[in-house]
Amino acid sequence: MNKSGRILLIIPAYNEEKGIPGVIQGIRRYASGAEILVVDDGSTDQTRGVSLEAGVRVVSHPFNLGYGSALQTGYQYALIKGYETILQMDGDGQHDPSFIPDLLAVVQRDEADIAIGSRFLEPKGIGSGGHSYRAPFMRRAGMKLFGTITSLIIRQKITDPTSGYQAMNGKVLEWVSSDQFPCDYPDADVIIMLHRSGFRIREVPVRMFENRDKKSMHSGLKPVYYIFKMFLSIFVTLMRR
Amino acid sequence: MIANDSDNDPSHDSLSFVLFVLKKEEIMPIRNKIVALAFGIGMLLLIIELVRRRKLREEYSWLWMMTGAVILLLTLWFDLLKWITHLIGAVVPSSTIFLFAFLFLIFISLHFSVVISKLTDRNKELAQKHALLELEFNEFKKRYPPQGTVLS
Repeated sequence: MNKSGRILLIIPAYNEEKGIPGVIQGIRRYASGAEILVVDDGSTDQTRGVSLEAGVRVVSHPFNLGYGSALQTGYQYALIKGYETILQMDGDGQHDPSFIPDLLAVVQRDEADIAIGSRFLEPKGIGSGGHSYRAPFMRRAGMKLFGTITSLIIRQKITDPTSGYQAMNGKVLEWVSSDQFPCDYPDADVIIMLHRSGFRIREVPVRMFENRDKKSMHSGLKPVYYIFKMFLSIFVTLMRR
Repeated sequence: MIANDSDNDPSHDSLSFVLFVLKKEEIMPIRNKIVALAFGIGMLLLIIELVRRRKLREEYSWLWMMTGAVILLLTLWFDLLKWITHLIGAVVPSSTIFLFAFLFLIFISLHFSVVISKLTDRNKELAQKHALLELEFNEFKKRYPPQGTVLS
């Protein structure tokens, strides 16, 4: 059986019972042929129940492992089941599903091994003022800093290194399923690692919405750790051969 | 009265204090020796007992065993401690002991951080494998329900 056309949409979710039905609905509207896997990262609410009710597959962590580990569980599932194209999006409804076809198309046409949805590129047909995303100043500053560092290292413009809205092919899937993938806040460092492993990266304009309900993973003292981790991770990545 | 006291008190200036301590520490006081010996032997016995009861793995016991052995060695061979004190440029043997105790604690904490990192990775891998197997198992059960539950 030829599985090359099979697409899996991975949704890592932690306590997203409110957002997830809408996300699944959106995916079905814009990627009807794709299969959906919700990775329930040890949620204490009904994330698993509402996802099963919506008729999708759910893989549940026995306890909370974090965003990166949830993604990686999804990657490992896709690898075992032989999916050739993977798309990941957040379970909180932040990512506009109407851009799923744009991201998938880049990978399926083999224009890149991984397509990263950028909220800072101008989406076609939306025009100026189309961005619904307005991050707090510190967050924007962090994105700009690591975007610039990543762009300088890989010599390609990266505007949104923290984006979790991505599509990838089977070659990248093998890499991200391995223990090389940093499960602890994977973003700019992954882009650098992927580039150093010879993968072709392309940013695709997408729209993201602000999420008012959710407490950001970048809150409290976490931004300080995030900045430290990202610098260290990028530094050791550059030291590795 | 006050003048007399300060004459007898060797701590009235730092140099005479150091000389006083050095003189006192030329040999290890017998009470110190007994306490150190009891502590060293007690520590070794405790570690061996923990290993015997399988509460401490052999691989993590060696650093502690070494500490107990070093305490015993330095107690019985005080000249070695004095020689190390001289070698590292410390003034009194007690600072040498504090320095090495501090270094030991730092290294053992680092060692534990490495162990915890390894355990965290393995814990994550186990949880991921468990989750994937559970999904597979549930789908298998749905496809092939246990015999006797399907009547039609």
